[in-house]
Amino acid sequence: MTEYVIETKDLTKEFSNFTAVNKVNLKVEKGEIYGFLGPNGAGKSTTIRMLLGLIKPTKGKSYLFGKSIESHSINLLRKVGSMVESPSYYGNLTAKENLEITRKILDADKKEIDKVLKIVDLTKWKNEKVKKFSLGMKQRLGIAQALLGDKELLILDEPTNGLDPSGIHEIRDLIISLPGMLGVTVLISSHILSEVELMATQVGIINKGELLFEGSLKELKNKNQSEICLGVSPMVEAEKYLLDKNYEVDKKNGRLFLKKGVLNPGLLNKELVFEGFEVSHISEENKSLENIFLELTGGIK
Amino acid sequence: MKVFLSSIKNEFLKQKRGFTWIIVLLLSLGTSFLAFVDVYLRYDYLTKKQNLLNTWEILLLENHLSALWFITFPLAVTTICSLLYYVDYKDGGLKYTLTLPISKNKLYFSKWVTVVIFSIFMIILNISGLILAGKILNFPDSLDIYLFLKYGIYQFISLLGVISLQLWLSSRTNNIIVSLAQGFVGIIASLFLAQSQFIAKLIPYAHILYSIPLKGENNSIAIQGGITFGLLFLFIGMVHFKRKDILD
Repeated sequence: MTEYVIETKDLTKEFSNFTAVNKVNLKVEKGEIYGFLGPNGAGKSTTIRMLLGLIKPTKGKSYLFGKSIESHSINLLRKVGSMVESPSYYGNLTAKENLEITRKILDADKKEIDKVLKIVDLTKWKNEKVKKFSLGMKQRLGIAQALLGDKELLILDEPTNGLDPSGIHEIRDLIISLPGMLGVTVLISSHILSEVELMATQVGIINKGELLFEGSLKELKNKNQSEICLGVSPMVEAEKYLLDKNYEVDKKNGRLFLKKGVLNPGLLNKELVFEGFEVSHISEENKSLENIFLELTGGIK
Repeated sequence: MKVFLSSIKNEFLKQKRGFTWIIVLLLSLGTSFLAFVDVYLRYDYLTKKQNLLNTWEILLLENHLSALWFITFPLAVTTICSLLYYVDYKDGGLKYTLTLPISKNKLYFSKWVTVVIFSIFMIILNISGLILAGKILNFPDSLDIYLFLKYGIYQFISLLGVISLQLWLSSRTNNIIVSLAQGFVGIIASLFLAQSQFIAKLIPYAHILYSIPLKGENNSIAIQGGITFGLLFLFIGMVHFKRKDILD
């Protein structure tokens, strides 16, 4: 039986007037970079907060390394590094002093501070007050805090939020290198698929508190059914003809769209021409991963 | 235990370059200085008026009432409690700390111990300032160290209720203004309500008024009230904090 690094069973969080997370079942295997995707307000951060024991679930359970976070939080949190929503820091303290706070609680070696500062490339600024840092530097400090100690799991909630393209690139490269460099499993949340597309081995898509998809990016792509786009006239009659032939037809922007399935576009063209329709356009349309994601989360109707 | 001690050290580290130490030093020594100026300027009047008290007792009384130590000390404690949570709430420090392997109870109790240490430090500074003032004024009576020891212990115990109550109130909100306002209103209201010994027993902010170890003072209000409310609000605060969802 696979032992998951993260596993949730019907995890639910209800607030007074809405359900933020509804029966979510996550499964993250060791060594993965798991992309936890969903639009803003989908329930990603609430799920992450429950995984870390910051908030209590209304129903359901969450397990880290096979153990319930509620009953083993202290031992489990020792193995987990995290950054929730935005980097947390004490602005009046230097980067080194901020890491010292973490180090003391973890009882880690003092050398660990220099090690993580080097990983996130902040050694040069270690004695500067954090309030003077740019957002990117604060994000990197947040990752350094998460890395300090012998961590087996990193949970990074929107680590690229608010960064410029070069900052995003920088953080992305850093995250990709972590499983190989430190042997950690990474859960990274984002509301932008393209940000995690290049990093994640598995993805979970959540919207309105419900987990809509969990699997590899390949499986997500396979969810896509290509469509055949037709420019045909007269369109109304052509639509009626195709519906009578039991094709699934959709009319958008003056074109007809048919689910491709086993359809051969050449034969379809021939058939329509023989029936007296004028075919001015025929093409095969593949949805991008982004569009699949947006469709799943209701971003595209 | 090691994590708990580390957490206390962290609380002090978080206050580095902040206002807390300025408040501690300024209010404790400032009040001692005010008491010194007061006794220096009104020495003859005070020794005549308070002819049943010796000079050290007069200095202590002036420090507590005329120099407003009974207000400035709880005000300082209220501010320290709010600042301890303010630095944590400000940039998500509390959220982060609670993802570390430390229990909420230990974290809460370490904050409580930190306020207690700051309070003891303030008392020591204030009393040291008073003794120095008495020496400068060259009091004719010999220094009664036992009197000052009792004064320090009584006021510390009397303030336990305020420490526990204010720490609980500060943990409830990420808005420092709210917890400060609650404390300030409590302290000001206690000035009026403490006129009645019965009501004073029930208001933690009023207990310090009864902590002067002089004849005729009902010190039991300060001691019993401080211990009772200190433990009660510490317990309520810990239970509340343990159950609290960290959403900020």
